[in-house]
Amino acid sequence: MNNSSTSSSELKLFLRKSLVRMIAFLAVAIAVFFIRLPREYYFSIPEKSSFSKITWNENRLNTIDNLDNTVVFVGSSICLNGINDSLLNTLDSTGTTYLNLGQSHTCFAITDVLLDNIVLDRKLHPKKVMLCFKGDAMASLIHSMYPVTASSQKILQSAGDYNTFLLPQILKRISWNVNYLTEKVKFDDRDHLKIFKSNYGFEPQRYRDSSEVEVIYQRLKVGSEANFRSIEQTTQGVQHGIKTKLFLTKVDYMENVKYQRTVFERSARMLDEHGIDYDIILYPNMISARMNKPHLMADYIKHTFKGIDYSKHDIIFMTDTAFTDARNYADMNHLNPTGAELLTRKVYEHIKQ
Amino acid sequence: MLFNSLEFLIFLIVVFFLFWVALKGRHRLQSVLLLVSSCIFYMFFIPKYILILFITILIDYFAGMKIATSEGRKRKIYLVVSIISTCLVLFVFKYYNFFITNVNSVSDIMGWNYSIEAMQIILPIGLSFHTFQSLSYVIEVYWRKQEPEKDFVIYSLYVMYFPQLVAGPIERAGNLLHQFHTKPKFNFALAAEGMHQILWGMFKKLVIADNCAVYANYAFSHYNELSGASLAIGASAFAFQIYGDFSGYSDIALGTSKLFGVRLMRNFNLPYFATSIPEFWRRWHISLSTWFRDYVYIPLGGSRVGGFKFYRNVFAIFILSGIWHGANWTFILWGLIHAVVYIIYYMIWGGGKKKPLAEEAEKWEIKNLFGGIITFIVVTIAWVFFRAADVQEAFAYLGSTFSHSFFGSDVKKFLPAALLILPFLVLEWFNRKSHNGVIFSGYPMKPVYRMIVELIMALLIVDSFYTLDHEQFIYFQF
Repeated sequence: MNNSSTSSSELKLFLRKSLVRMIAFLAVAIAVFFIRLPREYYFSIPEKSSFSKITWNENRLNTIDNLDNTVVFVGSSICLNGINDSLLNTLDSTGTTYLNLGQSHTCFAITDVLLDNIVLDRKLHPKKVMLCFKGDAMASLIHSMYPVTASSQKILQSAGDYNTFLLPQILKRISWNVNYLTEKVKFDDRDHLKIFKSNYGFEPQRYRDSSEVEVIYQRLKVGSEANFRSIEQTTQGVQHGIKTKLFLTKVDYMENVKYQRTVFERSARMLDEHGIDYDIILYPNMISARMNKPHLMADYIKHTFKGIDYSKHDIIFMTDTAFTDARNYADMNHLNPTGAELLTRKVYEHIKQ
Repeated sequence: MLFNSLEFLIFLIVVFFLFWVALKGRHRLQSVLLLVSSCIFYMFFIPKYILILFITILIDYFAGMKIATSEGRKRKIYLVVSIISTCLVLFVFKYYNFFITNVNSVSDIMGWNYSIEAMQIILPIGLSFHTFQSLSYVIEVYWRKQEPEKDFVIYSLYVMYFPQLVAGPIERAGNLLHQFHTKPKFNFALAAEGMHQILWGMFKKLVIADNCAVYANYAFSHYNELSGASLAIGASAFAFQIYGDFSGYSDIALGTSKLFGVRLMRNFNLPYFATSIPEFWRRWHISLSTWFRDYVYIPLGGSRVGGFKFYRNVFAIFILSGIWHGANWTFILWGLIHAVVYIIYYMIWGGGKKKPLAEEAEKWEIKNLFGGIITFIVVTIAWVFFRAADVQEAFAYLGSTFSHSFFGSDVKKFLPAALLILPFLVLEWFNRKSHNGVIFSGYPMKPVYRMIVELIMALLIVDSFYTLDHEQFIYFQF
């Protein structure tokens, strides 16, 4: 009896002391989380990584006074590698300019931060924004540079948008803030060759032999087709059984898809509120092109994002059979420079209309 | 499940509360909980591999019972069957491809026209650790030093106990089984020590090892371009990477186990303060070196046999130790280097009375420092073989270290490694008299200062956790 009560009191003491330490750590961590370090510091972090386009975007925006006459492309690597803004600037003689601010890795949240940066922080008013929507699946994971580009407040606010990956984002922000003090003694093994350097924002993908692209296609075909079929069913309002419903709920919340959807809609709403015109581009990919269902994702967008006024905003998708050809691709989703030129010309035709 | 992951943190908190709160006082259920948790922990890697573990457990459990109740030849047969079946799993998964590659090479050299296909399999995590733990049990039962374990849950827990399942320490039945049989009673001092040990282990892994890894990885992937000094620092960085990594893992394992009232054996005792190679092996991976000592070296006659047989015994344990680490000639050469230096030491200074360890010595002499530096250099050269992808790369790395100009402008890039390693060594030195090697446990400290240090360590852990591509624990592959 005595032993048992001693054990209980020792457990309580242990839990109490652990709690005190946890609270102390939380207090320090919260303080570190809210420290505001120079913006240049945060944007120097991605510079020597494969995300160096983020730094390039920031530096380019620093040199721009207005975007009143500029069409801005935002989105993931399929935008970065798909729209040749240099070509667009050559094609258009009306005085409208084009800027590709795509950045590698699919994540609507980091695009949302970029749009906030342009519209809310810098008070720029682009002539038009072309929002990228990844064609075969919803984004789920959050960009590893999100806690660098988003402010502490923005990260916290994401909790209200169902960001289920909030804790790692907060810890990452704390980590980068601590790293401000420790980075000088750290070894810099980052690859300087990866730094994105260009006068315009398009990054040409390397050419890959079309037979190699076909091999990639065959490897991923079954899974991707199944994915598209599931998207098609959702769009058609197919009634799912309880098992599928539970699975979809899991995907929504545990895999963070709900947050990414919310954020996409939030970006669109913010542009509307500021009177900025925008369209949505569905970049071509081999699966949807070869399934001959390029409209599928457009239907899905209309079904999913009901807050968008589609009479004002177009969803652009490619019906050209050239996009079934592996010779235009670097892999399943990314166009090579030839494919990018083809797409850029098609998009230009659309904008001219 | 990695110790340095958020999943493990959640897992540990859940198991802790179930163990001490939900199942308080229900010893049987607490044991079952630990076993189920261990299964879940293991299945986070490759779930189906738990069947291999289960079969091994089943064979050794029944073999232990049979050995205990049999006599004479039968008894030996049960032991041999148990050892062969346990080792067979290890051989198939770990050594088959190495064996086949070498057979094919010999066949090529001899001009024989056949080759055997290698298998496409992934090594079950921690296989060498739990295999050796199982072997130790049946051997101890055979030697009648250990009663056979009749309780299947307890025996399974002995092999699968999650804190030490995938990277040791390789425990002995004599230390662990009786602890599992004792009704657990929460001990504040032990649990608090466990928490400190987990924090210190995380610090060693994430702050020391993972930061050193950046230097070591760069040096080993650019050895053709770097100056000798940079390569020497790069190799030293690997020495501290592997120490921080493995001893950090052991600290987390020991600390985690203490939260459940179970004490595991100490696996590291300030190895880089060793003043000779024999002393290094009394401090490095203690659970493995004592395993080889007890089950290979001493049965072969140890140092009592003298002459050729003694040299044979030394080579046997070091080559076996190399092979234990992996199916690669680099590990065998690593073991050979240690064996040769070990024998040279004995030839010069003899195997007389063991010198006391640094922390036991009454006074520290300058010759100890000299011995310590020489030992560290030898150990680091051997680590180059351990780290290199193949033997050629190891020789090329060492060749570049001594043939390139020693000082180059690149050295500046490597100097911050000293800022990482030297304070760490100083901390360890001041802490040398602690019984468990956990930071600041060697001398009293005001609670408020201790808490400040803990907070700084926690922030540095978070810093390294998210800003580095943290490496998996090196010893998981063994």
